Amino acid sequence: MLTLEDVQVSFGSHTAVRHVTMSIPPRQVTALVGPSGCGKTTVLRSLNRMHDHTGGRVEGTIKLGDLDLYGPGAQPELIRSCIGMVFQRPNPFPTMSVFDNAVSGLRLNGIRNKKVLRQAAEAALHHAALWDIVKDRLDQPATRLSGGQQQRLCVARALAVEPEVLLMDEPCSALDPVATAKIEALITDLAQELTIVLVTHNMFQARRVSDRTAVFLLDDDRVGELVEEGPTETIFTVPSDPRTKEYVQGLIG
Amino acid sequence: MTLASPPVPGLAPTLRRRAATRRAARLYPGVYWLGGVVFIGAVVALVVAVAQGSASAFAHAGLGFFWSTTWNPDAGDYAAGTLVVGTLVTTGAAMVLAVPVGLGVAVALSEVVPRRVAAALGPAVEFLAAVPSIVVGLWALLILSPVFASTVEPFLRGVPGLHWIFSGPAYGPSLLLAAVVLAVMTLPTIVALSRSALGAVPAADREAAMALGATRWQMIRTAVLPAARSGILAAVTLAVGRALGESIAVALVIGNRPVLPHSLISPGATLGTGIVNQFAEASPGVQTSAVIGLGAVLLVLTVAVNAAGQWILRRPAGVDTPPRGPVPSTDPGAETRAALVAHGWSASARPPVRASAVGTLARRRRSGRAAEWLCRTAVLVGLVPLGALLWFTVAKGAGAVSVSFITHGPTPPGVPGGGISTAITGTARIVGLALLLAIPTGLAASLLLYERRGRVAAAVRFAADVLTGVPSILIGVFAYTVLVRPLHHASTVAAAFALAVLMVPIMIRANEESLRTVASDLWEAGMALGASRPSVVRRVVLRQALPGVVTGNLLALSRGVGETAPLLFTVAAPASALTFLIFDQATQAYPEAQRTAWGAALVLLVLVLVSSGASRGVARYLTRKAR
Repeated sequence: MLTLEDVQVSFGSHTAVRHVTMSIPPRQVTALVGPSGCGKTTVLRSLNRMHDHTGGRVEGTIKLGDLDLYGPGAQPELIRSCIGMVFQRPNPFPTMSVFDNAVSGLRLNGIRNKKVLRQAAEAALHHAALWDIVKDRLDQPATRLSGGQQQRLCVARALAVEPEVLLMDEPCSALDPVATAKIEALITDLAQELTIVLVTHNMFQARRVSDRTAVFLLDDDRVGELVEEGPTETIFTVPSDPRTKEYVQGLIG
Repeated sequence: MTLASPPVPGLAPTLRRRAATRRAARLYPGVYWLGGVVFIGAVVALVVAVAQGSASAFAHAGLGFFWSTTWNPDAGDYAAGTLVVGTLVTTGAAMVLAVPVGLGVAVALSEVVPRRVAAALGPAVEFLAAVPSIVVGLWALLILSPVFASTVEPFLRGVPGLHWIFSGPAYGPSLLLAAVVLAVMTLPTIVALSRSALGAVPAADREAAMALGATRWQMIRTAVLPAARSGILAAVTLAVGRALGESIAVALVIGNRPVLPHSLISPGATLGTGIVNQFAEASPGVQTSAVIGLGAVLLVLTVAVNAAGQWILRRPAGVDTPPRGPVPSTDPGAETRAALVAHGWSASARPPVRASAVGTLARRRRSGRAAEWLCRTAVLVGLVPLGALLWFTVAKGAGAVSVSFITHGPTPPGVPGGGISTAITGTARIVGLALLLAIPTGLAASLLLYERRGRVAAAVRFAADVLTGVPSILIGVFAYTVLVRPLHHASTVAAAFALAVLMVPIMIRANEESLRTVASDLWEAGMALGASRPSVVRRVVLRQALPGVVTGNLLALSRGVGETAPLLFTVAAPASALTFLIFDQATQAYPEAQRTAWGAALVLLVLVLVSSGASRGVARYLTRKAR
């Protein structure tokens, strides 16, 4: 269970998003939706401390179970190995082969045993539904794969580290509809053992794949805020906040 | 309604004037073709001059000229082998010093130190790239060499296990000192180019590593360095090219003994220093031809290395277009579970990732911190010689410079009170004339590259690449062969010609780059207003590109002001150019001469830094004005 309590993220004097309080239940897909610039990606990136290197300041409390992610003893590297991430554009390491990409996270976390790496790569690539496609070309550069395959390789790379939570930042925005459908199927499948947080601006996608939806909008000061969150069906059919209704219906109808 | 009888009063004369413009427009292609052809002609002439000049030496010695080690003027036997070895040894040793330090500095500035520190040190490094090589040579000869003789070389000789590379008497001037000079000179190039390669690695690659639990150093090693490797390789290649061809500073500190080196602390010679020391005194015939032959060998070496560097830089990034394979029909959801179980994705068989992540974190951080400290140390190691160089030039130079030093001419050797006025005016005349030759040629040739895509444009680009890599000493030999020898006297014109040949390729590249950055919609907007192509180029494209063009030309100017090698054989007397004066005075034993050299070096440094600083300032001013 990920819990956010009054989270606010700012860059210098500019506050990107504030007043975010929500719980993200385990082994479900939670979608963060909203127009661009409303802070959904900013919130997502605060969940594995990706702002540490970009100068973003995170206030409030974010906990994974009992672990305070920004507490005094928290190790960002370990947090990131528990909370994996898949990015907007497929970003396999361009100089590595398919296999090296798949096990890059394991190597980074100190695992050297070749047999273990081999098994883990195979398992992770299976898990990302890529094994049958790449099993004969594990030594080829990852950049030779198609865009959708590269993105699934990125998923495999994240899965190999066996995260408890997988953050996905608009993982389909650079993909065509066929590849998108595959990633969506993969998301649904992964949610059986992982907690997934998905940023998307595609309402259809949120509705198709997510169990819960959180709606972010800009407030009167042009700062992003969490307007409403709850079960996806509720958000899309009987939202309690009029702004949610406007946004959801405006885009759908 | 026709354009000949417009209803708007005042438009008719305007359109008549445009007819005149149109006539000028017809000349425009002629202008850029001429520029391109003149430039190609000059490069071809250079290659021909070197080939022709060295022909009889090659005829005499055959291909053995490249590797045979005889150099016996009495018997008339000449070959380049000894000097090739000296060149490769000094360059190799220089790279052993400069590459790790340069790469460490680049990584530190790009990834490790706080942004504010990097922002302060970055321009300082680029600023040091502009320091003329003669100033580096002067500092190495007068400051470093005594220290090497008294301390560094005896110490190295005493290090156990290194006796095979450090042995023999410690003179000071040596292959090692030459290598240090080359390392100091190439360090800024390596840092600047590697740093921009590191900076160009996309944030997405860095974040990919971070999101997997990497420490900062692991991120640098896994995601940043591999992605930047071709840029780093290009930086090193270009530095190698520069080191191979540098002759003036090396000639001051290498000891100039053309024998096969048996130790790094023994004196030696390189191809470049061979030309510097023997070209003027060589007797006509085979000996002169042999010295030019050294140039031919050097030309082959440097052009090959630079071409490799350029090729690496231009090669498209290693991203292949993904193949469009058939879409597999398997639905991931259904099959995955079974497959997972089959491949041991059960709790017991899982790789112990978390345990390893936790267990190795301390070690990963420790080694990362150590590596990052190594990079920070590289910054210190790199900045110490560069700082010392500046400090000594300013300190020693300030003692020599006075009003009368600048306004008075030279005195005979050993007589105090001499000044450098003739050298300053001489340099100004040479560089001014060189600019008059180079700016129009460079601009015209770059317009050819902008307008045309055919073979001639390709030839211009190729010629510019070749010429950028040609050592400046060879350009001096070229100018001597075509202008000094036929006319029987050295002249400002010959020197200016040599500098122009050196500057034009720099200008062409900078101009072309800034022309290319002009947005094509601006271009279309101009054409849509009915303007002719030349007037769009003049009023829209060139105006927009002006900051870049001015910057590039000023950089070429500062390069030209600091060059010594092209002037050695083209200027009548050392006192008629600043850099030549420094080279001449530095090697004289009189303290007065050395004082003059330091004073001239300071004046030169100020001139070069002002012109390279001005290029930034002017560019910034023009960019702001254009907005």
